[in-house]
Amino acid sequence: MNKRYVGFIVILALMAASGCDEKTKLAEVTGVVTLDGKPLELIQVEFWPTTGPRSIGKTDTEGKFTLEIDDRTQKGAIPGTHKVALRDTWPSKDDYINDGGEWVDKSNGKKSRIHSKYYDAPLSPLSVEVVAGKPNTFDFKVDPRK
Amino acid sequence: MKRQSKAFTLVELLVVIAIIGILVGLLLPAVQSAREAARRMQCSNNLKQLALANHNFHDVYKKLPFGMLRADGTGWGHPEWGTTGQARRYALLHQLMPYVEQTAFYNAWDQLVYNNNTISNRLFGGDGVTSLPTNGTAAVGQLLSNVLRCPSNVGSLYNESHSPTGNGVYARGDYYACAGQRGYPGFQATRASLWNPFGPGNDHPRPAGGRGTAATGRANGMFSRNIQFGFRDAMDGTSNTILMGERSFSDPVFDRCGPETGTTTTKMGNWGWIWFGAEGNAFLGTGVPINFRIRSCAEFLDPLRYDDRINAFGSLHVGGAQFALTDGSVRFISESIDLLTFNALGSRAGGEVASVPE
Repeated sequence: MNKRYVGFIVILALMAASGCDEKTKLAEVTGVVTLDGKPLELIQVEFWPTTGPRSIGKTDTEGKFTLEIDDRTQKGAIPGTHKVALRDTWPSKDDYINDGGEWVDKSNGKKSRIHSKYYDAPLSPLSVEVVAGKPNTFDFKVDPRK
Repeated sequence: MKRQSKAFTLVELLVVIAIIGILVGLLLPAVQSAREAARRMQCSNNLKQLALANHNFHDVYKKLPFGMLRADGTGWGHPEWGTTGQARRYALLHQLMPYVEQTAFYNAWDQLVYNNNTISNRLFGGDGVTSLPTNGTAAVGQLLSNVLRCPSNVGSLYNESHSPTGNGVYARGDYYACAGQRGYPGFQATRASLWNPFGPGNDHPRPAGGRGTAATGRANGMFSRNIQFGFRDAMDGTSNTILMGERSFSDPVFDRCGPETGTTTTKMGNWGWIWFGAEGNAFLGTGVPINFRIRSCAEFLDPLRYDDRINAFGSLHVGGAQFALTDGSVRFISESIDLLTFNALGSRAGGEVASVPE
């Protein structure tokens, strides 16, 4: 008589199992950005993968960056090939937002310290391969502004 | 020997109840998602109407509308354009109004002197008294809100800042022109901007399809400031180029950070002032992931992240946002789309091989 319920229990088990969901596996990525051998702070490092979400980091005073995925709280980057964009945030570090919500430009003629070929990810000369399952380190020696 | 039974056993009854329970459990989320599906359909219909309005505009003028027109101060050397202040100033949606059956609104709008188009203007249903509209009262733009608003998109309905007198308190709009990689800011010496989408400096090669120098260059999407493109400018193919898309205004972190950091009272809804004719109120860009949001007030104070948020397409539909392509079709694009592909879909003449993923 228990046989009548066996099928029912199997269906329940299947339903429970189908609810499972796997998180995207990210690989840890760190590195250093240098210009003429000196570490460069306030550089925004963007990794644009060929598939999946973007990862971003910003260099500290020692030029070190740690990538974090764009709008989530996970650290790291998606494994695979990435185009790398570098943007200099140093000229805009004194900018502020006015009450209309607009940014006020306080750059006072300060210009980007790095070459502009790094700004646009699709056209950037930097391309890297992030490998799954181990910490990745990428050091970028960048060209100065022309 | 077979047991004779004239009634259910307790176990049988429990099994039946359990089955009914499971079925109801399946049904309830389905009802909720059916509601959201209905809202999404209405939203996609609005986008379709606006895409068709663009096509009808193109049929008449052989060009698409201005992404944004702003002739303040510079005057362009023609008396009609005005020489001071906010003389002639409007954005994409204003020009599309006659094509979504809002001709009366379009005609009532003072196209030569922007400042005449206040909320108190009787022509727009105002009472002559300048005050903040409440939901349900007639105000500029509110009459038009059905085609301009996505029903899924919660968040503040009105622009609340820019003027303490209420001049310029407008109902929010949810549909934006695609300016290519960058829509905001218009021009900044230090940050990627509409006129210089790849970043500051004039030593960078101009984007394909771009015109002029770095200072006078145009956005690389279908819409830009003070210029009209046509379908012939969509060198990447009209089916592979985004025309318009949605913006999400639901952003509690953003709304909290302005007051908290003491720099501004601005909220995300203040960027929904689609009549104003300013880059941040007219354009979105594909150089930013769909549904990009800042996560902390530190990011709010980071110019690049702030710019990214102002540039982001987005919606409260689960997992992505809807877009009108230049060919007039409306497509849902997942937020997990490769950023390189998304970026390519935004440019009108980037020369990339890209199409909207299925």
